Formats: sequence, C-alpha cells, structure tokens
Amino acid sequence: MTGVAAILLLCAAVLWLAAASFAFLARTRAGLAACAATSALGGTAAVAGGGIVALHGTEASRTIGAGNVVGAVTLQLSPLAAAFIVLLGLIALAIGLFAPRYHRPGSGSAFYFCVYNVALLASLGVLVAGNVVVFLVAWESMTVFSYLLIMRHHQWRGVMAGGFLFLALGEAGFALIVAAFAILSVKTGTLDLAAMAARSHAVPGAWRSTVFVLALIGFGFKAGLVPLHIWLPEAHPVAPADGSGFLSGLVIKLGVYGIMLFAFQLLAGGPMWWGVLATVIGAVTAVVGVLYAVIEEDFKRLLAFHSVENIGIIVTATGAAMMFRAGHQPALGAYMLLAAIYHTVNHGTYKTLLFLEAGVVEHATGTRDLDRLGGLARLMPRTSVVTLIGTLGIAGLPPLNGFVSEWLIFQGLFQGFRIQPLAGVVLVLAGAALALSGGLAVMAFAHAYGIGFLGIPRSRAAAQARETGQPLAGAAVLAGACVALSLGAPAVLIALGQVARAVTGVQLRPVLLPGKLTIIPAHLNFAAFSPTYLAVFLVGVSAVPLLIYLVGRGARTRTVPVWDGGMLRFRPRMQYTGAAFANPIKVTFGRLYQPEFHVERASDDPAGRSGPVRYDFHVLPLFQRYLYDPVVAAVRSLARFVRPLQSGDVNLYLLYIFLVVVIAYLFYLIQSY
Amino acid sequence: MTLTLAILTWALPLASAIVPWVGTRARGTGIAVAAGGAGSLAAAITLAARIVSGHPLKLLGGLVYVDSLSAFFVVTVALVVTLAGWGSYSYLRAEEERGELSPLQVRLYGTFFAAFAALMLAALQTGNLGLLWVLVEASTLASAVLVALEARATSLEAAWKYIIISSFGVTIALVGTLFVYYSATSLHLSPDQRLTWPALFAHASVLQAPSLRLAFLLVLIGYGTKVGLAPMHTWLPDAHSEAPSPASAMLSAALLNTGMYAIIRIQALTTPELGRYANDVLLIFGFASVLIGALFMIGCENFKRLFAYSSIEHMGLIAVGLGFGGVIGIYGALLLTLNHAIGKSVLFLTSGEVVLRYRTRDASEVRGLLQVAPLTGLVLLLGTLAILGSPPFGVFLSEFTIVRASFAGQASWLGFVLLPLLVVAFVAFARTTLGMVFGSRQGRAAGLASGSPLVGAVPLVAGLGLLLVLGVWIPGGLNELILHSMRSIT
Repeated sequence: MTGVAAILLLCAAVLWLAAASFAFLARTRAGLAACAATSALGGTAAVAGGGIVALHGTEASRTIGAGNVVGAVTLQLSPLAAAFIVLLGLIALAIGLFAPRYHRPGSGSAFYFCVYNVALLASLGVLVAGNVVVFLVAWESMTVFSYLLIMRHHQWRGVMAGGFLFLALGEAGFALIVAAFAILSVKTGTLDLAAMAARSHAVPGAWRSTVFVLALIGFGFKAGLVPLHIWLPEAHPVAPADGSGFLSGLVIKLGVYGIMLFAFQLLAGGPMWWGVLATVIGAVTAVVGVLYAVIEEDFKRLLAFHSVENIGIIVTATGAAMMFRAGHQPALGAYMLLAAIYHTVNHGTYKTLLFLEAGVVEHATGTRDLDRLGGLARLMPRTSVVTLIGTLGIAGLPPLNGFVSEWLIFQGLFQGFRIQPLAGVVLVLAGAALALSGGLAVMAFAHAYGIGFLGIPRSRAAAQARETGQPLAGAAVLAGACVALSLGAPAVLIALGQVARAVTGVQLRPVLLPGKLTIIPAHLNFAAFSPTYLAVFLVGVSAVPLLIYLVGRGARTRTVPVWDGGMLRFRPRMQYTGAAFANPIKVTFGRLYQPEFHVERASDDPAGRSGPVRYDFHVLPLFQRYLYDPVVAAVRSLARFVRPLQSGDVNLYLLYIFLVVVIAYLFYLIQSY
Repeated sequence: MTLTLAILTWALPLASAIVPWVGTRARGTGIAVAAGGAGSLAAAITLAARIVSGHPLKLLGGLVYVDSLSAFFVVTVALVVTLAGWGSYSYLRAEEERGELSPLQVRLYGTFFAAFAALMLAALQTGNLGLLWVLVEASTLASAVLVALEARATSLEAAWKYIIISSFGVTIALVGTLFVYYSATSLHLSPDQRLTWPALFAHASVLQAPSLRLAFLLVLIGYGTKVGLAPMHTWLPDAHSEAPSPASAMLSAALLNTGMYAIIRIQALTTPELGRYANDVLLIFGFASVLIGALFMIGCENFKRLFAYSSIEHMGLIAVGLGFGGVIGIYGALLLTLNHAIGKSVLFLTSGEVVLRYRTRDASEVRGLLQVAPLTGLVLLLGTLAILGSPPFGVFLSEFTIVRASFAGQASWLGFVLLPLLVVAFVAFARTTLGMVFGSRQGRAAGLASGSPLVGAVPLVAGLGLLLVLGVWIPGGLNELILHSMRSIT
C-alpha cells in the first residue's frame, strides 16, 4: 500500500511540476484552464496518496544519491505528514477548480501559475522530507514562492510592503529553524530525520530545550503565533484570493506541522514546561487574534486575524498534548494531538473556502470593506450560501466541522485535573481563554456575515453586485469537505487515530469510538457526543418549521406593509454598521487597542441634522510599535553609528590597516611571552 | 598533457588580448574575451579532472604547482572569466554604439581584462609564494586600469584609492611572506625551496612557530586587504561601484577569491605547528567582515556598492567557515566560494544591464524592472534570493554547512551570533533590490542601446541555472574535487 501512496504522491509532484512548466500556456483562457486542471488533478492524487499513508499508519523512507558532506536526498512518508498532505491536496484541488475563472489570462497570470505550482511542490517537499537539507530547501522555497505569489499585483499599493513583511519575517523564522536543525544534527551526528529522532534522547537536556524553543519560535513565525503574527494581516489582503487561501489554508499550517514534528517526533517528548510554554503562547495567540479580528472592517484582514486565532487554538491543543504526555497521561496526549490535527484540517478547509469567496465578493463589488457591502445574500445567492457554510464552520457552530474539533479540544482541556495540579491549572485557564476566543469568534463572523451579506446594500457598488459567473465547483469541494468532516467525524477519527498511534504509540480507537457513531473523548463517565446524530437532529428540528410552512401554505394570506414607525423609506444608512457592532468590544478592550478616534462633523446642530460625518478609527499597532520598530531602529542606529568608518578619506583607510597591523603585532607579542 | 592544460588556462585569456589591437573593435574584442574565458574554463575543468584522478602537477622545483585546491580555484575563476567575458561583449557593444567608449578605451578594456584574468589564473598555479605575491600584485595593477576605464572623476578616484590601499596591503603580505621564508631557515632546504609551498607544507611541523605566527598575521592582513576582510575592505565599495560591471564581477568573484586562496595556503602551513591559532584569527576577521558587510548594506542606495558590501559579507562567511575548520567548515567555505562567485557574477552583470538602461546606480531611481525589462528583472529577483542564501540555490547549501560547522565547534554560541547577522543582511539587501524589481514603471528608462538583449541574457541565465543545479545536486566530480582540495591542505 505504501508503494501505491508513493506513486500517487509522485504523480501529484509530476503534475504540479508539469503545471508549473507549462504555465506559459496560461496566456490563453483554454491554457489557463488546462493548467489549473492539471494542478487540481495533482491535488486529487495528493489527497489519495496522503489518505492511504494516514490510514495505513506506517512510515517508509527512501534515500536517493550517496551521502556526502552536504547530505543526501531522503524522502519519507510519515502518517503525521500524511494528514497535512491530504489538506494540501484538498486545497490544491479546490483552488485548481476555482482559479480558471478568477484569473485573467495573460503573462502575469502565467507567472503566477508557475509560482503557485512550484509553491505546491515545495509544500509537498516539506511534508515528504526525510532529511534536514531536503526539509530546509523545501521550506524556504515554499516561503520564497509564496512571497512571489503575494506579489502577483506588485504595482498596487501596499503589496510590496505586505509581501516584504512576509519575506523578512519568514527569513527570521527560517534562521531559527536552521539553528534548531543545525544543533540537532550536530548533536546527533546525522542529517537524517529518522535517525535524528532515534538518537535525540541522548542529547543533553539543555540542548534539547534550546532546540525546542528555537523550533517553536521559528515555526511560530510562519504559523503566526503572537507576537510573530504581524505579517498575516498585511500579506493576506494583498494576495490574490486563491493565494490568500493557500497561505492561510496551508502555509501557516506547515508551521504547526514543524512544531509537531519537533515536539512529537524529532525530540519525542520533553519536560512539562515545553507543553506549558506552547499552551500559554497558543492561548494568548487565540485571544489576541480574535480580539483584532472582531473589530476589523476589511474582510480579508478579518479572516487573516482569525487565522491567527485558530493557530492559537491548534497550538494550545498541541501544547496540551505535550503536557499530558509529560504528565504520564499518554492516552490523553495522543487524543489532544489528534484533536489538534483535526482542527488543523478543519481550519484549512473553511478558511480557504472563505478566502476564495472573499475574492469573489471583491471581484463583484470592488471592495473588501464590510461597511460598503451589505445585501449580498439576495444579490449573490450562491456565493452567500457557500460563504454561510464556511462561516458556520469557522464560528464553531454545530453541526459543522469547526464545532466538532473545538468540542474535542475543550473536552481534552477539561481533563487537566488528571496531571499535576499546577499544570492542570494552566490547562483550565487555556480552556477559559479558548472559550472567550470561541465566543468572540462567533461575534466576529456574525459581524462579517451580518454586515457584509445581510441587510440592504450599503454602497452603490454593493447594490450592483451580481454573481461573477465564478463556477461553484472549487468552493463546493471545500464546503462539501466541511460537511463531510462533521458528519463523517467517526471516520475522520479512525484515520487520525492511526496517525496519532503512529506518532505516539497509543491506540485510541477502542476508547474513543466504542460504538459506530459516538465519540467518547477521554473518559467513560465524562462526556459523549455524536456529530452525526447531532446533525440529523438539527436537520430534523429545522424540518419542523418547514413542515408548518408547507402545511399552512394552502391558507389564505394577506399582504400588508410592515409597521415602520412612520419612516418614509428604509435607507442603507439606517442599518447597524460594522463599526457600531464592534464598538462594545472596542470599549471593553480599549487598553489593548488604544484606539484613536477622529470624528468630523459638518455642523454641531443639536437636532442631529449634522450633515456628513466622517469617522476614523485606528487601532494602535501594538506589536509593531513596541516590539518590531525598536529592533529595527536599534539595527538602523547601529548602522548609522558605523557609517563614518567609510568616510571616503583614503588616509583614514590606510590608518585602519596600520592600526590592525599594530594590534596584531601587540597580540603577537602578548602571545609570545 | 597536464602542463599543456595548465598553460592553456591562462594562455587562452592572455591570447585574447591581441585581438583588440588588430583592427576590430567592440564586437571582436568582446567575442575574443568571451572565447578566451570559455577555452580557459574547458581547460580548467579537464585539468581539475586529471589532477583529482592523478597527482598534483609540480615542475621547475615548485614554480609551477597545481594540486586539487589550485584546480578548484582555477575552475572557479575561469568560470567567472567566462561569465564576465560574455558580459563584456554586451557591455562593450552597448557603450560603443552609444559613443561612451572611444576605440582606445575598448582596446584598453580588452587588453587589461585579458591580462587581469591571465594573471589571476597564473597566480593560482604557482607553488612559489614569492611568485604568487608578484602575480597578485600585478593583477591588482591590471584591474586598476579597468576600474578607471570610464574616466569619470569618481572612477579615477576609486582606482587611485584601490591602488593605494591594495598596494599598502600587499606590501604587508610581502613582509608576511618574508617571515614565512624566515621560519624555514633552520630547515635543510635550498633557498628557493624555502618559499615553495609543497616543500614548506611537507615540513610544516618543524617550521619555527614564532615567526610563522607573525607571518600568518601579516599575510592575513595583507592578502585580507585583497579579499576585503574588514577593516581592510575600504577600497571595495568604491572600486566595485565605479568599474564597468563585467570588471566588477571579475573583482568581486575572482580577485577576492584569489586573495583568499593565498590565505588558505599560508593557513595550511600553520596548522601543524600552531593548531587552531590561525582558525581563531580567521574567525575574528570573518565575523568583523560579516558584521561590517551586513551593517553597511542597511540603507545603501547605490546598488553596486550594495553588491560590494555583500561580497565583504560573503568573504567574511568564507573566512568564518575556514575558521571553524573541520570537514564541514572547510567544505562549506569552498562550496560558498564557488557559489558566491557564480551568484555575484550574475548580479554584477545584471547591474550592468540596469546601469545601461537607466544610467544610474541609484536604486531609488529604478522601479518596476519586471515591467521594463522582464528578463533582467527576473534575474535580479532570483539572483538576489540566490546570493542571500535562499534555497533552492547553491549558496544556501554552503551557508547551511557553515552554520552546522559553527554549532559543531567548541564555541557554539558563535552560531547564534552568525544567524542574526545573516538575517540583517538578507533584509537590508532584499529591501533595496526587490524595490527595484517590483512596483510600477517610473522614471527615465532608456532602452538598451544594443539591440541584442538575448545575448546579454545568456550568462545571466546560465549562471542562475548553475546555481539552481548546485542548490539541489552537488555533482560527484565537484564533491571529489572539494574533498581532494581539503586533503591537500590538511
């Protein structure tokens, strides 16, 4: 079976490579469609290949080329990576179906498609890397090609800055990852990941901890852990919709993969404080991310901040898994890892879906500003329905997939009392933080969907919005996946249970899934849940009003105007605005936002007829100002400080050499005596 | 046969010096220079293959001495000469058509380019440290003419600084060489053998330690001036910025390496007597160079100066790799030498295209290169990523190997110093060049005078392709060559 999987993944790689090589065809519409179809086909192959490996639950590796000083090329199939490969394939499939209509044929699109397919290939490379050098080459290639993806419309305002932030922070993270791998490879004396994992327990504890912290921060840059997340809200809005979907759906997830790779495979467990560190960072990330998401008016920035939140949830769960493992609760550890991966896959599906649909909305209306949208539910019904599915998923509402995985994570966090008390408290606090962020996430998406899609159009652009003719297939695949990941939760658990077993050695299935459709997360007397029955129940409940409607349809109806309190006409401006919706949060968390308001009125007429009012609201860029700017300023001032060295005066230059000779001679004399 | 090949490597470029004087102008000169380089490269590769599989070539009591290390550097330099020679063809034709270069200037360029290349290639093939010194000094003089070629006030000043500082430095190297001679006086060697590297290396464990120590310090400072190790690097930015771009490529990618070659030779002599003494000194100068290179890249708007500072940084990294030593340290340093040579040639040749188009060296006046000249823009983009150590280009593999060496050493904290500097260099460098590549077209973008942009693109694409190959696959022959080179100095 592993052979079949390897062939399928090879097919995926070849197809993506072909799509990249023949991307120049994308100058014509037919060529663009062929290119995207090839890419989508590659995605399908990756889903199948990854699925087989995940279900099979065995590792396999293959080395090509003789080892030299720099390192051989080793590829491996591991169940942990397989879960991410499935996600990669799914996203590639959806984007491949989505892209042909979204992009305009031309040389810019051709370049974009080439870059995008190489980025897919590089991501696959990260996931099948069996050796440090392959991993790093694939990793940084992924960064570089994702950067080029963001630069698709580099002439537009803000694109250069957003893209550069991504690249620069990516490089900073990469340096830390390189350090982590370099230390581990030096201390274990191998570049092969499997051998490294086998020998890492012999590395001294201080070095193991250094490696872990370096990896957590390094991959955290890519994943978007607070305070390393600042590239997400800048880079996502400026990328094309499918590019943002790829970034949020996959690239940041590979950061999570990196953390899991180090925590569970390469270092294979560590002291309790590693888990505590990850949990705390994750919880802070979740809360901060959602707090910024909930007040955001730009749809894509909102989604980006929300990705930060979800990464926080996933890392919290990962940290909890590490804590359970360190606290001698291997079953709970394996369970939390499973929940973390489950949430990763879920988030990848609905976030990609939402980014794709945000792109459709932007094409239809020319804006991403929620306060200039409105009424799209009626004008763009298909888009709205698909978006609603994604929104329900992302808000963690039953019966969709976001709810299932978040519920699993909560159930795990509540088991915190089973390990030592202090660590248990951390888990409970993390659970509280996630509960807060979950609540705010519902609010954020009530904001996004309510303001953007419901009501009546708030601008002329929104009023003229029509379906762009964007085929539904791409988004429908993801929406279908959302539903399947929820209704088919038991099947997903079986597959991910295999992954968790391969990583941690604990067989979860008999405890987790005693019956066919009921999940018992942790303990028999704690809680049980069946997403399938829940969905059936909810659909059943919603059938009741439908039934009443159908039964009562025959009765005579009388149509009269709604009582409107004497208003002549309902105007868009009378609607609740996004700014107003978010205002309670802005006030409550004013200390975090430190907002700047600017209100300009044409007149101060007390009767309220003030004429046009201009309202500006700016949130303090906390992390830029207090973390990044000082670092940049320090390096800059150091550069300014040394600048006089290169004054252009040749006498001075000769003096340097003379001084060096003198110092060297003194050095020599000291050494001689 | 081996001797013939060795002679061909430098005689072919030298022969191309005749062409400008027999009538034809830019076109013929360019073709001759490029052909000389290509022939030299072919000879160098064959030579390297023979040396690796056979014995070092030693003739005239070591006056001619070619071992694997020499062969490795000869291949590197010949490759640079080939790329820069091809770049010269486009440069000369464009400048001649525009009337910027007089026939005399074209002739001077052809002659001194050829002489510069031949002298460097010859310097790498002698075992006599005195002759090595003579050839390196002569190559300085030949290249100074190239720096001054365009005869602006600034380029004359740069050439003048270059000669003064380099000569001062090389004089110190001469004193160092004398101390090497002195350290061998107690040996039973004939006087000429006391400056012959193979003979000295064979007796390295009985050289006099005190004078050897002083010799290494002086040689490092002296040749370090050529290499551009801080704080002796001060001539580099001016000279690189003012020289015609193919000549800048030769300076940065070939001349600096020749200086480094001399340092490696002397370092190899010190190891048996002095242990890690030379390594520590190399580490100090290497780190200083990386630091200075990275800091000066911040806010540097002249893109040719920027590339020069990047060369300082990379030479520092090579010195750091040599300083860490061990198999991975030296391997990484040698691999970086080759990769940096290719990458920097590509970048300087690209900068030449940009200068021809925009008539400026100021990065803030260049925007939207991807739109104005897609190929040049793309090469600048990929070349930037390549030289900054982004995979999948070759520089990454070598830098990663050096980083590994840094953590393998006793002072593993040095790795934590090195990595932030590389990040600073990345951000500062990329900020400037990516600003040139992207954005919308603005300012005065004059069309390229020469009607053959494709010819100009060949060395750029070839260089990038080579870097890409070296980034994913190190050919067995190259691996062997580097391993043999290491064996010949340890």
